[in-house]
Amino acid sequence: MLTKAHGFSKHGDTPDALLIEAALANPDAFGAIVEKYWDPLFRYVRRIGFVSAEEAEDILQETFLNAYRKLHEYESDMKLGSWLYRIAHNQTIDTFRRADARPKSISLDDDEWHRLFVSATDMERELFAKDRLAMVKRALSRVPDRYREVLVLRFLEEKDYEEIMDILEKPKGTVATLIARGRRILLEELVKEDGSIKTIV
Amino acid sequence: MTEAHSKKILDRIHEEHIVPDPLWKHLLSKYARWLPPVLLALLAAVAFSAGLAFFRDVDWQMPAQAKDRMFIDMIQGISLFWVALLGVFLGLAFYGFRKTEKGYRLNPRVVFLSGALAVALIGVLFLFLRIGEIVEREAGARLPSYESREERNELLWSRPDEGMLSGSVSAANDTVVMITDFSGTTWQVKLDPKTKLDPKTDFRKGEEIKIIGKRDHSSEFSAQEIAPWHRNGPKKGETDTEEVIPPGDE
Repeated sequence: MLTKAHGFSKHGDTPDALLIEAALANPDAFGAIVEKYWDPLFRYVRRIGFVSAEEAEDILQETFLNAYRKLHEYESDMKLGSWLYRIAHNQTIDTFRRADARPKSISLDDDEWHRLFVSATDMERELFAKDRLAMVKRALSRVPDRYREVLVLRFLEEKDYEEIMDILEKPKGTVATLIARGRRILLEELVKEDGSIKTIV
Repeated sequence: MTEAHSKKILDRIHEEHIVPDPLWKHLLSKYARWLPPVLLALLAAVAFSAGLAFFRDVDWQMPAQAKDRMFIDMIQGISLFWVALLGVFLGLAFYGFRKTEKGYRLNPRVVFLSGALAVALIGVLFLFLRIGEIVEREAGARLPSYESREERNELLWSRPDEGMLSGSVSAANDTVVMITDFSGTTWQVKLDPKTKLDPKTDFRKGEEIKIIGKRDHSSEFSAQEIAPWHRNGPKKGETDTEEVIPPGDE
């Protein structure tokens, strides 16, 4: 990993291109990349894959090994984070494609449910009563994967449009459309659960 | 905690002797993704060039006295075959460009319009290099269902009710030309002093001509303008022609 011995005092501040350069020169320096991005990627994989912690770890191991194999592919006009999110995204999709199934039970923290609900519907946080949690979970589980993924990236990962473009390899217009439709579908599903939400929104 | 994960991954890298893929492999795969769209764009340019050759050589331009229907005839000079082929190749090339490494970042309209412009320019270049003409001719020779320029011309010039007639001369004198059209019908074509004759028009037996005029009766036609079937006149040795034989002397 990148340490003082490699000339970096704190890898969190190290520019992405330097991290890659160091990893290409010395495999151990790749550890700095893993340490910097493990936690956000772990959360992301769990959010889009709805998997257990153990499964998310397995996916991430393969993600980082793939990233290591593809180090030459990284180009500095993209954020290293976006590049790793893309690999993690594809790895997660591949894992479920191989298993020919995707779990439908969603496991987010209560606070994450709040954030997703409030951001996607533009509703005031106070209106999200605790008793609505189960309803939101049911509604979100019915939102198609492609929209749910983009909602997670936008409202939970708080990625901007450029980053989402790079992660999903989709043009900006498509990203904007996916977000808008995702929000609309989520809202429709919420209204199906509780008609009073329509009035509130 | 993350250090433990990092150690696990580094251990696997060492134990399984995993190394980064070489740079040349990445570059090869990166540029290989450009190959299909570039080839498809070139094919689109060839189709455009062949379509231009078809349009140029289909004889919709001749009738000076038929300007009122020039637009309709011009449309008939467009080959749907080449237009369809151009559309397919252009669409696939566009899709291919979007699938290149950074293709998703480009504005789709800009990609499509600049791609179409490039295809058009290369297509015109191919036309000047006679590539379009060769491809069009080969398509006519090899594709049974392809309607060639010659067939389209025959169709254009086999509309006596619309004032366009063509066929080969069987007999002629100063006032009448007898012709057999491409479907085998014999026509009596009447000439008068006002009839415009292309200087290259040849009324020897067997020569093919095209006529602008008016249908009088079922097999009579008044000529206003006559030209040789091939725009540049009959080529020597191309047709088996004889001396003019006046009608009735056959």
